[in-house]
Amino acid sequence: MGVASMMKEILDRTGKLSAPRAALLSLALFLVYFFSAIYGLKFGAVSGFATLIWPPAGIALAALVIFGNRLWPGIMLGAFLTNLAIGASWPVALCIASGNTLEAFTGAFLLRRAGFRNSFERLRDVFSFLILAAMLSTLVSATIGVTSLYLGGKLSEPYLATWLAWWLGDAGGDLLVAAFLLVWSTGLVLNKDVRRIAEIAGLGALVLLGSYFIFTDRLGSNEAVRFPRNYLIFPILMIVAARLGPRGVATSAFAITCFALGTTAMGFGRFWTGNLSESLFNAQIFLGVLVISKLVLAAAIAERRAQQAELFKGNAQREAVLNAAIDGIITIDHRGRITEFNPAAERIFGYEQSETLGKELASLLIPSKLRDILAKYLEMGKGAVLGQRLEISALRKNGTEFPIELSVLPLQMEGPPLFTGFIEDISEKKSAEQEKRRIEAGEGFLAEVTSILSSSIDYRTTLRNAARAAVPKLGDLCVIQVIDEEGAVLATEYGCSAQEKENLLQEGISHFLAKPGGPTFIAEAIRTRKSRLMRDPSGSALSAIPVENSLRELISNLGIRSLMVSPLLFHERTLGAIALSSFSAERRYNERDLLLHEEFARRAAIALENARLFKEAQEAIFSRDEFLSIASHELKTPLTSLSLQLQILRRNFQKSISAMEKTGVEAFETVPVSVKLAKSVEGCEAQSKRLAGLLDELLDLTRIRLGRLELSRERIDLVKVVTDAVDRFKAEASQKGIAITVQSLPSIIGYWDRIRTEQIVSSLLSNALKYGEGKPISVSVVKGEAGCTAELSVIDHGMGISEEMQRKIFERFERLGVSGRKIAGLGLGLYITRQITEAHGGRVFVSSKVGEGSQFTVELPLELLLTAGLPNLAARGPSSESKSVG
Amino acid sequence: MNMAALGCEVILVIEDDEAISSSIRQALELEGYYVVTAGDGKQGLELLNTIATPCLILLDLMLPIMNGWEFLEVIKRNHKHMLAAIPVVITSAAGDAAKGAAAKAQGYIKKPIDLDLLLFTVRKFCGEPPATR
Repeated sequence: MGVASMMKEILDRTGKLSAPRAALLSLALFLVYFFSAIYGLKFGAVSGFATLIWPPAGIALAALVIFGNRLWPGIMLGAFLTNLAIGASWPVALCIASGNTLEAFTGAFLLRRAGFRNSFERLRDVFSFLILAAMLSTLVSATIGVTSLYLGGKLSEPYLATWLAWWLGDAGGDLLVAAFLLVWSTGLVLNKDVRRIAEIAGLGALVLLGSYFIFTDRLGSNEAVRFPRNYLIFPILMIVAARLGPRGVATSAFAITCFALGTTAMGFGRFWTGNLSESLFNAQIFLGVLVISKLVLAAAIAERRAQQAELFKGNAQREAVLNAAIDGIITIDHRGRITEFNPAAERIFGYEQSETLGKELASLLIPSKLRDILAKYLEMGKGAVLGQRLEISALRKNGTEFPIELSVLPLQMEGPPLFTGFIEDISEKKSAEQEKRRIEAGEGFLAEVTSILSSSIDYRTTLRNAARAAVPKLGDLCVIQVIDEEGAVLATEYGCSAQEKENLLQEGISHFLAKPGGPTFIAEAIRTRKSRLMRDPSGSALSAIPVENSLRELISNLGIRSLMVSPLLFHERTLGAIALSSFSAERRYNERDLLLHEEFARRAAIALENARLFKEAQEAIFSRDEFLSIASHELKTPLTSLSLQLQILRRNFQKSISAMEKTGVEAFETVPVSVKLAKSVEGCEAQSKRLAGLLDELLDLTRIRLGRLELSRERIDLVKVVTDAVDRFKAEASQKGIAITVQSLPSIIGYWDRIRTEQIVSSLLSNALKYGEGKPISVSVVKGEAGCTAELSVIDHGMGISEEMQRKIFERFERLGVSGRKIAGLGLGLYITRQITEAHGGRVFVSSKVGEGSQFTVELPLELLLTAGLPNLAARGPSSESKSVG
Repeated sequence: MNMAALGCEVILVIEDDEAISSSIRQALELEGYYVVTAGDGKQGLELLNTIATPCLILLDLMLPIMNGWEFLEVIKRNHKHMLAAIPVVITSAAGDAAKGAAAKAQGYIKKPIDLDLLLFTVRKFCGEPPATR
């Protein structure tokens, strides 16, 4: 490990060596170079300088490649001294040294440019090393070196032979030494695997032993082994190349070189021909071919192994991604067969991977109705499919359908396209979404229901509204049954979203709902006052409660898939029950729906109870008014004869008194007695009149309340009506000392009800007399400013009316509170005046100041009544009148 | 005319209420008029066949058997026996309901009846009572 880390440390600093370190390394290089050179030159140097194997060339190249160019002085010095030592003149030695240095420089430079890696694990490393370093860079040294020798006169053999020997020697040095050095320069990682160590050791032994036996003559000159056995080293090195890679090959080659060259140099062995130079040349060619071919083989194998490892790593990553993915990942081939099915897909669909591979995706995982859609989707092709997300239903192994989100990635590789689908099970997301939508819909539904229910106060309408309010928002069929206090069915109403089921429903209503008790579940809800949820009423849930077969039949004919029923409760009372059902399989009611339904039932119950109370109250008011109408009418009959009798009595008294006064015949004291009696009869008469007036007010009031105030319009002169009325009040006015003045046009003609108009005038005049405090009263009858109304004003100068009271006096039962004085009547006079005026299309108003008096004005339209009034006259007939009086 | 000359001016009162009917009779007889009363419209019609043509019919509306409206309808269409010419004054408490009939008749006296108005009306149609002439 120490060696390895040191090497690595040095390597890491390659190219940026510090000066002392570079100097130190240069010195080391010089020593190694020098001694190896001296030794190398001993092997058949051509012309004394060109050796057939020149290790320093390899050492120099390796040093510059590994440690950088700064080590050049080591080479320069080594080469210079070597050449001096073997007898070169210093200029020649300098030239040769320069050539050697330049060679190493060139080789290192070219290798760096080619992106060479020391490990020889790629073919390009081997080839660039062979061509650029071993063959090209060595030309430099050979040419410069031999030329220098030639120029220096030291060339003892032909130039070309010397040059070739030099070149091959350097190339051999590069191949056998530099390769060995470089291959080990990448550092050593100790493998602790015993088998690997054993393998390395075994192969190492094989190489050493093989070399020993092949390249020495240890096997003797036995005839049986006298064949060119040096080729036997090839299979051994092939094994080494396959198993140990470039490093193994380079190391083995180095070892073999030592054996081969050693034996040859010592004059024996496989290459020994008797001539050292020739033998070395042979050995070198053999070794060169051997190392080149095995390095190529080792690199090819290493490269392939690396690719495989890369591929394996990629596959492992892919596998890991597939296994860890949350999404289901399914790949199909162009025929739609599943080729990949990851664990998430297994979880999602419930299939084992082995069950799916090779099966058709569509028939296995897609509901039949959607297969076409998916096919079209895939047909859309690469561009359209890519990046889209599709929501679709899928099929689990157990047959249930569920929603998925699918995105498809087409994989266009060699051959037909593959599709990879990424699948997310969105059923939970979906159901959460649905639930949320449901809750929101529920709130919206209740708000809507409330507004529908409160839209009417009429009982029947409310019942109908309630039956329709929940359809189709909460259900498809809603049936409401209401009962009376004895439990008898009052009414049944239903709302249905499906028109085509109308006939079935009509039948069902007549068969079940109209009869007491109704269908079992409604009767049960009414009896128990409890809600009930039936998820599947056609199935088992319904058999839990006893139900007639025909009802079960109706439920299945209607297609009811789910049903809820709630009683309509109002405090202690049970008003009925409301049943809501769904025809759709997708809307199966759950507990939450039932809560919503119960709330709906609660609101419906309140609305129905309100409507019922309102109806009762209205009926009560109607009967009260009806009673008052009849009663006041009936009271008039005895009152008529009573008042007639009183009037006769009074008239007789008056007659007899005037007769007595004329004749003076009778006894003296009878006259005052008669006068007294006449007075009291008059009192009776006034009271009976007052009684009659009260009855009239009462009758008018009930008539208005019952909508029976009818006008019989005729052409009348308002001025005449007013003056006649004023005449009638003259007597009463003069009694009180009040002057009534009338200011009017000669006549104002309109179509009005004569008697009702008289009533208005009388009412206003009697009020003026009542509240006028004895001051003069003026009456005016004129046309309005626009000329389309008649204006009747009655002005008094009495106590006046406060503003607050002015707003109220035209209401029922309001009259001016006068302290300490009772004023006759029910306080209905102005109310009736207003009703009559408004019935004519006119209006009445007051302006008054407290203490100064009041002015009441009635405006009656002139024109309008021509058209509005006439049909009214024409439509009148005796029979209709008799009815309305009834 | 001959009846008037004979001093036999008759007023027909059609009224179902006995008390009212007798009160009216009493009031008019005191003035010197001749009064015939009927309890319903049918009886009134029968009387018209037997008695002299009255100078005035006082007609209540709400009557049994044949009501006032029907009676009015019948006599106003009977021009042959001059019944249509007989003045009719409605006496009713019915208010609005009486107004239609009142329009077809010659007058309307609201119940409770004002005696002065009654005598004024009778005098208008029948002249001064025979007794005072």
